[in-house]
Amino acid sequence: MTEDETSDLAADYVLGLASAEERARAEDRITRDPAFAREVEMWQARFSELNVEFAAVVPPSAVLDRAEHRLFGASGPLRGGVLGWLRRAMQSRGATGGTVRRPGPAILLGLAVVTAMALVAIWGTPLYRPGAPLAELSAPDLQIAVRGDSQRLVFRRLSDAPDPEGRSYQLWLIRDGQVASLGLLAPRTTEVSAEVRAGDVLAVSLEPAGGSPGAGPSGPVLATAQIPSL
Amino acid sequence: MTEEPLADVLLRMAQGERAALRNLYSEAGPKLFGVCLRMLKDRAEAEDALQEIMVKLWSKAHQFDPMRGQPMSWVVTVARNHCLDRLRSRTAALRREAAGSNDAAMLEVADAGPGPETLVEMKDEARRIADCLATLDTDRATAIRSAYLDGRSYDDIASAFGIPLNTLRSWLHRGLRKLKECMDA
Repeated sequence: MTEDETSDLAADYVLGLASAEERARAEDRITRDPAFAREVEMWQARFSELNVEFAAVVPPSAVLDRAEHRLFGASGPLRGGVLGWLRRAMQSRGATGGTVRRPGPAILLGLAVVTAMALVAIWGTPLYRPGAPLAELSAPDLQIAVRGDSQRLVFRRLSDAPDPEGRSYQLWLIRDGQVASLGLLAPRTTEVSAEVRAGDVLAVSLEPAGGSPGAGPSGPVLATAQIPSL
Repeated sequence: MTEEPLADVLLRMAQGERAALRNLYSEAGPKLFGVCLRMLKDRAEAEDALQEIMVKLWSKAHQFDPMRGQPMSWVVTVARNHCLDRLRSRTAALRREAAGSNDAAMLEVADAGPGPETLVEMKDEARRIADCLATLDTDRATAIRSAYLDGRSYDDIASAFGIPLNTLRSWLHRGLRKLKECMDA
């Protein structure tokens, strides 16, 4: 096969002119024939200039939910409202170019009222047997067992992996779409005084050293876990 | 804070960081959805395809080599290949149905080249291919653009132009060689 013919076949493959059988043959050849693979790469680079003509269209978030469910199953990132809230929080960070909105006084007051009501409802009632893990926050490089009761939470890291250089892990409590920081994750054990109730969601995010500059996570949320209903 | 570079998102995906998939979706999702919509021309199928592309990108992220290409070009290539596989594996019956009576008209509408104003606005990176496509005769340039952007196959284009497959092949290959010469110059 001449150089030109090799280039023709590579262009056919990249353009997608080829039939299903020809595509399969070309894909097989890419793995065996470095010269052909190189031609394919060069045609891809040439035509990638046309990519500006694909108009960007924001896809529905349900598509991401389904992909996550397929990849990570039920143990994957949170479903429903809290996931939506986290995503909105991340998106508003991107859209505003970094200025993170601080929560208005009304939101903080609302959180305080909700917390107070929860306290009245559960005051003095131990929600959990001491020592039994309430939840686990699990990411590839970070596993945290969460213990505690309705008044406090204890986060214990199960792995010895150090924090990524120049970054901190930050803990969050999410309730009714509101988020509150529980502070940074310490190297071994982190104890936090917090009023907790069933249905609350805990999250850990990766932040700049010292924590998020805003009221919510500014970096990726690595893991979430819901306090089980009892 | 600027958006995290797409190359970093792919790297975190390669390391198995689940949250990175969401970053990919917000940064590249709209472009990839645009690819699916343009090529598949059906919203439900485009959503279906995008879901599978996200799954593919998760498992292929480790194959991305920042030394050998732009991350956005790479993810678009993965998306285009997925759409092409879908288009080519549609049954002959489905294809005939979709092609229907307005095949030639669809080719004409979908592949009308960019107008003069679009050419002016077109980003610099697209100028070279636009200039080189302009050196080809209009039909050839239209056929090449429609293959890349709309996923038209040899069969589609041959029936749209009403010429035999082999004639079309050599006719297009002459155009592609000229395009290559122009772009590599």
